[in-house]
Amino acid sequence: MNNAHMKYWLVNALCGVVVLILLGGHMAGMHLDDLLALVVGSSTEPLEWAEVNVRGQSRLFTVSYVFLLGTALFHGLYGLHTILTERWSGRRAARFILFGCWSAGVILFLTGTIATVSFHLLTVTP
Amino acid sequence: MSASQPKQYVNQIGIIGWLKGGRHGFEGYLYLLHRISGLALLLFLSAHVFVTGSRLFGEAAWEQVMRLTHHPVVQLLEYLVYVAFVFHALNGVRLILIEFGLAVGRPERPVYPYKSSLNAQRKLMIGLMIITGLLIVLGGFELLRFPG
Repeated sequence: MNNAHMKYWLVNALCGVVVLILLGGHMAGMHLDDLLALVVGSSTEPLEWAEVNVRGQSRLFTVSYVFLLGTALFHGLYGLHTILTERWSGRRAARFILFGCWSAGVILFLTGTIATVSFHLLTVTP
Repeated sequence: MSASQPKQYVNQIGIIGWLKGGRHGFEGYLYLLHRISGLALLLFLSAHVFVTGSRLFGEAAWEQVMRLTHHPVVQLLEYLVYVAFVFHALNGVRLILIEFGLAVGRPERPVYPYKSSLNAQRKLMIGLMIITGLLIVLGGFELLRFPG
């Protein structure tokens, strides 16, 4: 394993920790809200349109969504890349897989980021 | 082949190799589940980007998507995503701890009878899998409440 591979692996591991924290919070807040209410004492309906708008107005939520998307995509596509190159390890195949993973990552990241930032701008515009 | 080039080994087992725990025992199967849950989460994330993007088209579009998520089959799939996340996250914690040399015991000289570091980390694995199981059951109380 060369130096670049080790750096990618380390970034992947760090992304995993970030995703664990951010996605854990996201899952608890969005989908386990009633269980969370037992702990924190208050309950809202996070998927109601009004609540979606409140989060859309928040710069912190907008930035954290984009950050979560980026780290989750890197972590997920790094894993997919590892699995695929284990099966098809030839030089040409490896280059094709790397290109495919990066392309998918960039497309998904741009789609999610444009949607999130556009929604933020729509909700903060009077 | 020059001395500077590492020897390349051909992967002769391929993906079938995932199914064989081999000398890694139970942890070998966690490795299989880690990969399957990771692929499922990546697939879900890709779909999630487009589904949540519906909020850009206003309240009516959002409510329409939310109505779809109340379908029992979709709710069951959501629960499976939660199960995959909990397992992948806690097993990932175990893998990172082991990767950094934690929870595998102190290094020892290789004196026969050899001790396997698998046994040293097994308590951690069992503890984390118990927490995984508890969280999966707990999440089921909320995520599997089908309407009607």
